[in-house]
Formats: sequence, structure tokens, C-alpha cells
Amino acid sequence: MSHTSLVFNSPFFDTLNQKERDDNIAECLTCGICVSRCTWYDGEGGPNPRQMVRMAQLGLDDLLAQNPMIWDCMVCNHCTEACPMGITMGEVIRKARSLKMAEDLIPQDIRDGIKRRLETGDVNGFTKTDFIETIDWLNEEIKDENDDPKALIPYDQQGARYLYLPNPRELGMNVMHLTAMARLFYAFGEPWTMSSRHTDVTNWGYFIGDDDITRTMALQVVEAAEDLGIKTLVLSECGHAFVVLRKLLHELIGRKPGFNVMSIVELTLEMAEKGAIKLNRETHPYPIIYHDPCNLGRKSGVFEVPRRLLSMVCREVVELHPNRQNAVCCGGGGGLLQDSTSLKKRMISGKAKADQIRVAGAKHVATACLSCHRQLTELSKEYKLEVKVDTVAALAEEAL
Amino acid sequence: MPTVEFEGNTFNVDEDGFIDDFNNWNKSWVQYVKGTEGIEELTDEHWKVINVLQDYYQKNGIAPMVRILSKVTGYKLKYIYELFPSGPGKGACKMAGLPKPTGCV
Repeated sequence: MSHTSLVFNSPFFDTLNQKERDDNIAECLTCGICVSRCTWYDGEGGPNPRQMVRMAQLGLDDLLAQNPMIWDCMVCNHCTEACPMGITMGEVIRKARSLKMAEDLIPQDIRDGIKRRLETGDVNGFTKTDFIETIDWLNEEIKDENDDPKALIPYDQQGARYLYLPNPRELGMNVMHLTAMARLFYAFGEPWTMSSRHTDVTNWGYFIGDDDITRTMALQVVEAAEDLGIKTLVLSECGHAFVVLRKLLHELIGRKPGFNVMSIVELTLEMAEKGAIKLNRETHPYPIIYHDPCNLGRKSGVFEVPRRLLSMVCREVVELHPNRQNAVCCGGGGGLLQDSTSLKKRMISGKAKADQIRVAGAKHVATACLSCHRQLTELSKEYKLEVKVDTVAALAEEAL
Repeated sequence: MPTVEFEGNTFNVDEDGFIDDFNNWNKSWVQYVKGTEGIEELTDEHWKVINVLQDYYQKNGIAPMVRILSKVTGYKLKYIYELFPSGPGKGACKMAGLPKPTGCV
């Protein structure tokens, strides 16, 4: 493809314009509609998405690779949802982050997490021994509450129907979430298991735009699942993991995996709709706001499943405006929440979301992504929203 | 960064009310968090959790997994939540002056 460029040697330009749409920056009309939809730009005044595309177009790789904007971006695609040329900013930014010369900009926390994940299979560095000891300990606790051995958390059960892949939080500080998910599986009544070989749903390779690392991490999951001979891999509520493992997996590993992939929200809804579990709407006898995670909603087209499940466990689902395709990012996407130095920018980018929640009025917010969950909790404190934040699956478990 | 004034001490805190630096922790901070967390009376059991968290943090530079906290203190998970209604991370770590858990911890 020919292009107008200030320089002829632009590795970045060469990596773009490979797809029919999504990364076709050469077609940018410089209309600026993306600028008008960027919540980071709204709060901070720039740089903005159009400038990024322009730098790429002109072959200004050096300038781009040193531009902090590539790590201010939430990769939420809100900006280019309305792009007349179908450019997808998430693609452009991820490719920019993957440039060799942009390596220095990768936040230290992300770097460390990727290293640990590749070494141990868990982004926090929890080993197989940590995993086994944690589950054995939790099972001791469960035994005190429930005599039925089927209520325990099983692991490495060959041929189980479901394999649950947790978020690392569920083995670290937030084990109550894991025990709640275990109670859901117990209620489903089908054989399920966890794997001591692989303990982590996340894939930070996706954040840095490195397809090789993303693939390696995905294969850690795939191989563990295939060796166990399970039928369905069930993902914890995690936005980017949904994109990688549910949407891109086939394309990423170049073959069809030997199992289906579902999120715990999808599975719980299926169980509720076929009557395998009964949910009590009166457990939460008040309205609850639903926040669309960008990875689940705009990027994967899952809008109605979490809403349908939420509507079964509370009195009313409250919409934020705009929502679905045009939902505003919470401000924690694109790896920002995983970077402990990002707080200030997350509060700036998240202000639009905080304003939406305040206007909606309800005092309880549900979402289907643990990163959104933490960011919304922090927004509530920062902007004094005084809302309680839960995940949809956690609310469903309470309604059993 | 917001500050908290309590019993003549000034603490810098983040938006979730965690102190900015473990070295700035003192016993007055514990009394302050006790009020915000709605804990009626501080018992030896609370102090045991705080001491275990601080020892582990000083040795390892991170907060322990909840399993380790439970094992070393000998307290069941449920009991830890009874002691610290906001949980081991947001309640106990905050009181012990540890940094807020970040990332996917």
C-alpha cells in the first residue's frame, strides 16, 4: 500500500493496515470524532486519539513510541466506535505498545506480572503448592459449614464437565469470591473442577500487544484444560480474559480448542433459564445499575446476558446513559488498573462514569469484570457516590 | 493527597484511606481506622492479625495470602471477617499500615 509519510522507514506503519478494517489508519479522515469521545482527553486535554493516528500515518514512530498517551489509553474503543472509516483504536494502541522502541514505557507492574505469569502460570507468582494449600485450606473451612462432600472445591478431576478458571484475586486476598463461585457450581449439580496446573484467567500479554506472549499464556490454559478432558472452560468475570479466551482463542492458537468456553455469567444464566437453579429476585429488593465492561460489551457484543441474569436477582436493572455499544469506560481498562502508579489518571478518565452513576441515582452497581469492579469501587470513594459495587455472578450466588 | 488529622498526628492517605507509607504507621493510626471501620473494641486478636501482617510485610515486601494469615494466626477465615468486617485486605491491611492491594491481587 502506498502512503504519504515524512519518513520511509516506519516499522509501525508496516505493522498497521494489515486488516481490511480495524487498523486501517491510512484511511483516517482526521475528522476528530474520536477526540470528542475520549474521556481521557475530556479530563486532561490531550494528547488525543487523532494525534496518535496522525503520528502513525506520518511515520513518526519515535515520537509515538515515547508518547505517554499509549499507556494513558484505556483501549476501550469508545473513541472509534463512531469512526466513519472503522479504525479501531484498541488495535492501533496495542500495536504501538508492542513496538520495540516503546518497551521502556511498559509500566513496571505489568512487566513484573508478565514475568511471574510466564514462570509460574499465575500473575501474582503463586505456585502450584500455593494453589493446593489454598484450596485444601478453603475446603477445611467449607467442611465446617456444609457436611456434603460435593460442596468442596475439587481440583484436577479428570473428565469433569466444567473447568473453572479463577481470577488471581480469588486465591489471594479475595478468597470469599472463590467460595461464592464454588457454591454456584455446587448448585448447578454437575461435575466441575479447578486445575492446579494453571490457576489464572488473566493475560497481560494482551495489554502490551505482544501476540507471542498472549499466545503462550493462552496455551498454558488450553493445555491444562485439554489434559483434564473437560467439556467447558468457565471463565471468572474478567474483561480482557473474555476477549482473549472466548473471542480470539481460535485465531490466536491457530486451531479449535478441544472444549467450549463460557463465562461464569453465561453459565449461571443458562442454568437459571433451564431451571437447574432457582434465583430469588427479592434477595436484592431494590434497583441495581448495570455497567457494561468494554471488553465484554463493545468489544465482544455481550450486552444482554449479564442484564438478563441481573434482572433475575434484583427488583430492577437500571441503565446508565449512554450504554451498550456507546457505554463509557470505567477508566480502568487497557492494563491501567494493573499499574499501581495509574491512580490519578484513572480518576480523571473515570469521571464521566462517576457522573453517569450519580445521575442514575441507584445505590448499587453491578458489572461483569473484576477490574471494572475495583475501579468503580475506587470511583465511588473518590467522587463520593456512596454506591456498593458487586459482580453479577456474586449477586446471583447471593440469590440462590 | 488527602491527609487525616488524628490525636495530634497527620497521615497522608490515598482515596481508599490507606496510609501512603508503612514507615508513617503508629498506634494512633490503628485507633483512627478502628473508628472508620466500625470496630467497637480492639482486642488481642485484632493485634495478633496486625502484628502478623506487619511481620510478613517487613520480611517479604508484600501482604501475605489470606491462607497464610489464617495459618499463622490460627484464625478461621470467617473469624478474620468478624474481626475486620471490611475483610483482610481493606480492613486488616489498612489498619496495619500496609499499602493497598493493587493489580489482580
